[in-house]
Amino acid sequence: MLSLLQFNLIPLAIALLIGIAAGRWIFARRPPPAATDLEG
Amino acid sequence: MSLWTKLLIGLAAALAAGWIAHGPVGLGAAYVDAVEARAQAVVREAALPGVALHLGRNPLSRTAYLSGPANDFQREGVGMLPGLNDRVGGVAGVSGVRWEEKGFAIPLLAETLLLIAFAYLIGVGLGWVFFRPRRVGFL
Repeated sequence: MLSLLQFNLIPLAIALLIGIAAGRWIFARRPPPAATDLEG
Repeated sequence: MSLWTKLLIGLAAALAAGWIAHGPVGLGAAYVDAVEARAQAVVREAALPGVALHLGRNPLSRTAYLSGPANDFQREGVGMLPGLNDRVGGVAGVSGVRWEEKGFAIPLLAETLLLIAFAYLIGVGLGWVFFRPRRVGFL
């Protein structure tokens, strides 16, 4: 199994990066809604 | 877009990358070739005339298929003397040894995609660690 990991290091690294990007997409803080002009 | 939809879109992208590396790029075939060469060297070392070995090719798998004339002792060994099954099974990368091309062998693609999915989930976990919303303290 170890050599299968070695052979697939690059695709595994790509999958890891895609996962990090997906994690950012899913969990990142959303910008607050635009402030409304309550006085006007 | 829901959390699960985003998670599945990311997973599909990661699995697609894994499949491209395995198939069109040829990493899967190269891996099977390398393991097969090592296993064939073990068979040659055993010096059993007429015994041949190949790994699963359709689909690619890590299962070794042996063929040729060999008795039970040569196949299974006895006591401290390992047979061909144990020797070939000990080669790094070989997942199983068979003398008949029957039964189900786990395709290499499935194992590769499982690893890819695992790496993707680790990435999502790292994404959560780095990018999750944190409570901001003002004191």
